[in-house]
Amino acid sequence: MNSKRISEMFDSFDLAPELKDSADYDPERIKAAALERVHAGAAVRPGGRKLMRACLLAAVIACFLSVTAYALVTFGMNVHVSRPGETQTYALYVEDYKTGEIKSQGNITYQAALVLHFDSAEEGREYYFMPGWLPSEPTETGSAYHVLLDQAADELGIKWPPEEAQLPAVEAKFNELAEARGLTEEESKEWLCRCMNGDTETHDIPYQITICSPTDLYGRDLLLGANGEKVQLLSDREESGIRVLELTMEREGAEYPLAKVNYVMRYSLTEGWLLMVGGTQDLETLAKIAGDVQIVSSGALIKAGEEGNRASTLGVAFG
Amino acid sequence: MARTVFDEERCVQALKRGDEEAFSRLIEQYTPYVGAIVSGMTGELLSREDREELVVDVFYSLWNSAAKIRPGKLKSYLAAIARNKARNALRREKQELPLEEDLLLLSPSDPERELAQAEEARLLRRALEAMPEPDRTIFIRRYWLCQKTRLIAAQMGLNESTVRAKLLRGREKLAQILKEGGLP
Repeated sequence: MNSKRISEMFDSFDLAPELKDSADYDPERIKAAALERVHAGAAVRPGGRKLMRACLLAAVIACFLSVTAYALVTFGMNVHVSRPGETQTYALYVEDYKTGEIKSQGNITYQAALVLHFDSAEEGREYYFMPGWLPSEPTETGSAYHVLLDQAADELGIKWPPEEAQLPAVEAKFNELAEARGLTEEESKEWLCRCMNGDTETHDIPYQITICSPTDLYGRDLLLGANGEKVQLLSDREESGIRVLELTMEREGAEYPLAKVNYVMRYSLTEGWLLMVGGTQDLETLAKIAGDVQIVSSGALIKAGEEGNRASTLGVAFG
Repeated sequence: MARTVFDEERCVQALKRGDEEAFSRLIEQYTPYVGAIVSGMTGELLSREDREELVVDVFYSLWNSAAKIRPGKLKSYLAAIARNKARNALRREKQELPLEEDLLLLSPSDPERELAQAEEARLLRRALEAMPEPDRTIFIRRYWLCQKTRLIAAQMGLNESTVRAKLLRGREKLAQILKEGGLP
């Protein structure tokens, strides 16, 4: 039986209903309170180390508190198993790397086996992680340091890598961005956005850990099996406000190591971060890695561009 | 005496550049409208302070997501933010629309094709345009503004059973148009 919630159909509907204006709210009070929040959000925070540790402590405590998920859920994830032949179509945007201009390229159609749809009225925040237990040493990591360097260059309109004469400006902007997050340069190298163990000769990746904040006001989709892989969702459960998925993705008939990978995904329904641990390791090992990761937020809001691709595909890869 | 005309598009462009003066002007202009949505949806469920907090939340979200405002669409963008915030509050208070009134069941023989969001919106618009007044207004109040039928009836000077009957006709019209548009 196919069914729809009418109220949800209105979620993405462009409507400004004519209503009688309310005189109950004082615009001056609203203005004062809104501007106070704007200024608080932009303030450089002193005592950076204490702030980051406070954020870490809050994140760890949140993981262990037993809360009423319904009362605190503000981030949604819908898991949709595609029917045979079902496709997904999105508007496609590409960036002109010479000019930075975002251009529409019409539509793109996928045939994904599984679609994870993320939606929330809350903005996403910038998250990083620190791994705990790992079966082997990482061979490659990406950290807040790299993210902030990229952002510094981007905000200055500088194409990477910067010229020598541009380095002082990039460094100054980096320091500004790091200070706003309460991070020293050393600390920014500890907080990771990516961590993997991979062998470039055998092309095997036993594990890869990434974190992101996939929601914005209109929702984003993560497509699994969009390149013909067979996807099996083995487990979908909720644990104390965290939605946990375990699945396998296999490209049938292929014989390279990454033809079959396992994934453990942990999605916070209260904070909106998505932790993905994937690779050729067995699910039990990947689940152990995922369960021992500490997650922190820099507090910075993720501001999505006016135009942007609403779907991304999932893969485990080098680079 | 000089008169300053409120140029909304220029204000929005300035807002996108992080202009606090423009932000302030937009708050002055739209507080009554955003307040009407928040009050209309949450009514007596929330205290005055909590409703006011929601209105502040809406404008703070506007500040943080200004880049997404399309030309000429500020009001509907604000309406969408306000509706989402208010619906989250309704969910927290377990006051969502009852499933039996909100769920549109489509034919069991349909081949379960999932409509793209844009196509669904187009068919919904067609269904609304096909409804006469006051049916359309009642439908929007119930399913966009999530107002109770008793309140809709009181505010529109109608009998509650009349409101329920018109909603039923509206749901039937919507189901018919969805089937014509995408499902056999």
